[in-house]
Amino acid sequence: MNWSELSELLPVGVVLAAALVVVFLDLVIAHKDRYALPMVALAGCVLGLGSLIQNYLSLTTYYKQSPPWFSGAAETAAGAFNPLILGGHFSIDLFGFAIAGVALLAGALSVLSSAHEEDDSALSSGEYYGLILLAVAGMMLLGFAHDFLTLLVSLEIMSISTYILAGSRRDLKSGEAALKYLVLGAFSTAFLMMGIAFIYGATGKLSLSEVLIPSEQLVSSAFLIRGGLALLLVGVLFKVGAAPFHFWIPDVYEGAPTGVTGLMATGVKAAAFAVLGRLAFETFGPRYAHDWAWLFAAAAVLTMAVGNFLALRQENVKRMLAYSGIAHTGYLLLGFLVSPNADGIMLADQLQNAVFYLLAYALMTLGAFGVVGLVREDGRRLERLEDFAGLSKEHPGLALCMAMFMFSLAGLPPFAGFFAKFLVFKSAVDAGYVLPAVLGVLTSVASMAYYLRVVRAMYVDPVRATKPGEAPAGARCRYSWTTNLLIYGAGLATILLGLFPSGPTFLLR
Amino acid sequence: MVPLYEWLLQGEASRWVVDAIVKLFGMAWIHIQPESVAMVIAALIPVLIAFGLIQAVAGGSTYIERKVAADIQRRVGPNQCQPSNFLGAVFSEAIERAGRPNARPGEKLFAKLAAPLVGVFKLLDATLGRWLPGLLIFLADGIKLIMKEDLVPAAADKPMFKLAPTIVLASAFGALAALPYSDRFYIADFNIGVFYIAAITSIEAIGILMAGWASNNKWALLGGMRSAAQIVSYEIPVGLALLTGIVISGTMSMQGMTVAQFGFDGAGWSEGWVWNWNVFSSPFMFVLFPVYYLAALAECNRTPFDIPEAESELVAGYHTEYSGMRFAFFFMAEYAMMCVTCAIAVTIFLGGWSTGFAPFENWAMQVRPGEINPATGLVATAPIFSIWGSLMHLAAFLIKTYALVFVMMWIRWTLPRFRVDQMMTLCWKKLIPLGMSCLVGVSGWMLVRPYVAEKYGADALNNATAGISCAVCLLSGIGIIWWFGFKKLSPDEQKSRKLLVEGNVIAQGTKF
Amino acid sequence: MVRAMHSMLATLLFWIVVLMTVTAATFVVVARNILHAAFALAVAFLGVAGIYIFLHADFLAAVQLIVYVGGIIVLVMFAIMFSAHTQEGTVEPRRTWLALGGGALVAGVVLAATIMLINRLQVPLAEANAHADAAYRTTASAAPGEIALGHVLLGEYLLPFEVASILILAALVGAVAIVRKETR
Repeated sequence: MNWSELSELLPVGVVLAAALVVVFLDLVIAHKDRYALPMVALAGCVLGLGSLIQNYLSLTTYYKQSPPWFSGAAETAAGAFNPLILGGHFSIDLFGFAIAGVALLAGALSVLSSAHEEDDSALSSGEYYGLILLAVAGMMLLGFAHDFLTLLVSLEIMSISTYILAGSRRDLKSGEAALKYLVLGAFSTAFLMMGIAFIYGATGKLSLSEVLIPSEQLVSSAFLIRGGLALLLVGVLFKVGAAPFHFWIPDVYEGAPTGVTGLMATGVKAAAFAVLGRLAFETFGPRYAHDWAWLFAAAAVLTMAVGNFLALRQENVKRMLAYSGIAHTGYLLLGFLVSPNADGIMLADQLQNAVFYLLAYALMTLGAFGVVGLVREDGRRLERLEDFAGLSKEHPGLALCMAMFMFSLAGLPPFAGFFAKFLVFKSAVDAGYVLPAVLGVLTSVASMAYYLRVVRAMYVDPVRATKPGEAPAGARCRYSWTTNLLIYGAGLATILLGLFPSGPTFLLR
Repeated sequence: MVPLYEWLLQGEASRWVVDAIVKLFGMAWIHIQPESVAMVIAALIPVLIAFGLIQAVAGGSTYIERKVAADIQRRVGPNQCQPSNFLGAVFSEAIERAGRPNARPGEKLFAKLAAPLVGVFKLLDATLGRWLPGLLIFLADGIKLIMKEDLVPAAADKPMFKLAPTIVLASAFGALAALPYSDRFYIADFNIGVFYIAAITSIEAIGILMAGWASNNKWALLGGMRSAAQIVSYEIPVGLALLTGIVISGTMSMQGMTVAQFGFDGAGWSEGWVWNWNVFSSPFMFVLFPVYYLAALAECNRTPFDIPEAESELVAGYHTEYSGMRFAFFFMAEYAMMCVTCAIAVTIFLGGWSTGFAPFENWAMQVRPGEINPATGLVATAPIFSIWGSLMHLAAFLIKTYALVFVMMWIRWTLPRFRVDQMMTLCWKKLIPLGMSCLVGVSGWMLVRPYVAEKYGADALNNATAGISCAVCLLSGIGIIWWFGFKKLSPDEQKSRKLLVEGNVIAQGTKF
Repeated sequence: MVRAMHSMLATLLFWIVVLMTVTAATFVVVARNILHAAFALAVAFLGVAGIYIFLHADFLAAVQLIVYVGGIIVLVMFAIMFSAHTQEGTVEPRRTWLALGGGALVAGVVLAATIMLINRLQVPLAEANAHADAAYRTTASAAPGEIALGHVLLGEYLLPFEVASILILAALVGAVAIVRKETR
């Protein structure tokens, strides 16, 4: 093992160091200086992002070409960059960079959306921000993980941190969310682990790209491997929240503090999709596309249907966003359907589209959760639909951003969400899965109904008086510059990404 | 060194027994598969040895404990249980009955046979009874406990109540199997020796919790929970000390650890002096020894860590509801655990069964490591000693172990009890950081050692190590003496010390 | 002959251990008293440690005992005893026919799958066993498992090993976050 390659994991190290600094800083500073903690956490995320970009740039300049999208697509020419580093435990490829970038973004935005919660002391402690950073570090490692060992351990770093984060507000609902998340999460990890044990037992290999390389063992213990892969898929679908295994999502998202919900809906989902992507593109690949892709397609269709139709009935916006998250998982799954006769370039394109979706989804969802997390003057959070009434009068900018996020989530043209959906539908059609893509478009149209209900509540619905005889009070919110930065930044990015969808791709070239 | 699996199934410890029994049964009953009988018996023999050991250990330790307690409290202690008036009583009575006019012939015959035995008991009285007065009290105790009524509370969880003492005893019992009593007398030398002992003794906490809960008594429950918390916490410093021992010896086998403390030179000649023992091998080990010893004390639930059975608060803790033999099980387990932890301390820190006198070791060594063993024709990896050497090693091991056990007893009758929070503070805030830094220190020492040895020569290094260790030893000794003898005392401390001295003077003047 | 006896005794002992494990695990599920279930779980862990010994993984067996029996089960019992209603610590499972039937169905399917699996794998497993046994016989005295394990853990797999320490760090920070009382 070449230890100098450890520098490729420097971004993770930066985030970990920031986590430790935040935890220890809380012990030494006075209670009134606690506003510094989110700033340190934010700095950790930004520095991590900087380090990530620096890594990418130095790789590109050294090898005169950008790293491949995934390690299977690596050119074997002499002198070319081999993304498999550190004994094959990690793969430093563009997919990993992208997942790590989304994780850092999600971490930074969730820190921003939590930073105004001074009234809730559990949410302003050093451990809270430390755990966010640790979760982000886990997600980044998961993005780069290339064998089952590192994959499992990174997944657990992320999961354990988020279990506790989900319960960090000290009330009944938060506790319930944490417990449900813990029990079901542990259950799904057990599936994952069992699958890995089966596969390792059958093949004796751990590397994601090597386990299914045809061999005698693969034939002789095919049943064991199939069982293992099935368990593995169940575990991963659990983590991403796809349809037969989605039951935990609404309760957990509703109960968890809103900043954490944002992190779970975006960062955790991106990291789980990193596992799914590596399984789909490197482990199975086109060679086994016939065997498993129908399963993915079925899960995708089921997920889209369940998510969208259950979201229609929700009165609680946080819960509605949770179901919308399930629906978006379905759309994302479409992006991972591999055609049996795909080549490396096509796979890279598909992966690129999926990553674009993850990025766009992260921005608009975190923005929406940022708005939902705001506290009204009367102490209520903007969680129920009727709480949004009158927001356009009191905070026109805020209402505009929220409307943008809703339009984008629904997939309307000038916003990032439109291109994201367009790209994954396109890659599904290219791969030969037309029916799932058509169903995706149809459910996407149906989803307009519930997204636009929020917009109607903000712009059309009359403000109801809280007490009879009193003048109707609008939704006046307390919010600080961190929330402003989060909401307006995410709004701007949503529109920019919609206007220049090739922007991120352009940056990579 | 033998892997657990091998030992379990092949009876490695007593292969010769298998052979002997195979021959025996092979001649006698041909229709019985002799191997199966031999296998079972061979598997049972170590168990029986361990069972005998645990009784001897517990019995001997209780006697020593009573004597130490009596000595410290200026009492006489057990002195009535002499061979003649304990075992001899039944014979004396038989003789007396035979003298009666209506004695039956059988009684007369018995008296005739018993008459010479009375003389034997008289002789025993004059020897054993004089050197160790009241030694047989442990037999008397045992008989008493067996005869006592075995009470099970009506509201207790009966199966668990009955199972708990067995689990506690079994865990101590299992640990005895892996101790290195001597170079050739041992039950098993596992490849994971130290780790095996740590694992098997960790089961004790379950048994204690079980006892506390099944008794359905609030004092028992509190005691059980306190005990389990204590054992789980103090397992960490103990584990750190074990780990350091493994790092410094490069093996987990108990025999291997002992041999590693002989300091063999290239030609297979043992250094084998006291200062080759691990405790003097680096200053860190010297610091770690008291850390381990304190933690071991706490793991055995001994004073000053006997919070689980604090009689002023909890009646008797987790064994409040137990009587008779079940109570004796807890008692035996406690004494066995004391001996086990002290034996581990001896193995890791104090040279195991090494006598610490190099000329003797070199004299007793028949095959040196690196030479060809004439018995097997293979190159010996460990030294092989003559029978006298082995016996001396056995004595050395037992003496060292019981010296540490004696200190445990000394502490018990000298120091008051900790509070729960003090006990936890000592573990988590003092012992664990200290143990952890010692582990890091020893690892660093092991890293640096070869370079220093290369530069300045191995002899200089050994001398320097021994010098540093002795200096640390001396300094701490001076520190302790200063603390207790010459430190300027505050008025309060002066008063309490005066009281203590006066009390002792009064006690000395008292006649018992 | 003795060799054959050894393997017979080994088989006998193995089945005793397996039976103990499975019985205890079943008891964990059906026990009405939650503490009895915890104790049964300890026995099941003990049995698993025994199975590890049969797999020549002594070190793992010891770790299993120290971590699961000596640590986790004790903490589980602590949690049960410290929480309220210890005396009424029994659970009344709802035993509807649907649940029983569903459970039986799932168990049956898993059993059938496992039997199929074993039938499929018989040949490779036997070969693998023979191979492992032979390798073990030749190296048993020279390089016991735990030494090789140490080399692998601190060599080839050092990085995942260290990543696992980050996992423990996360758990530690999380534990502090849960128990920490806010002082205002």
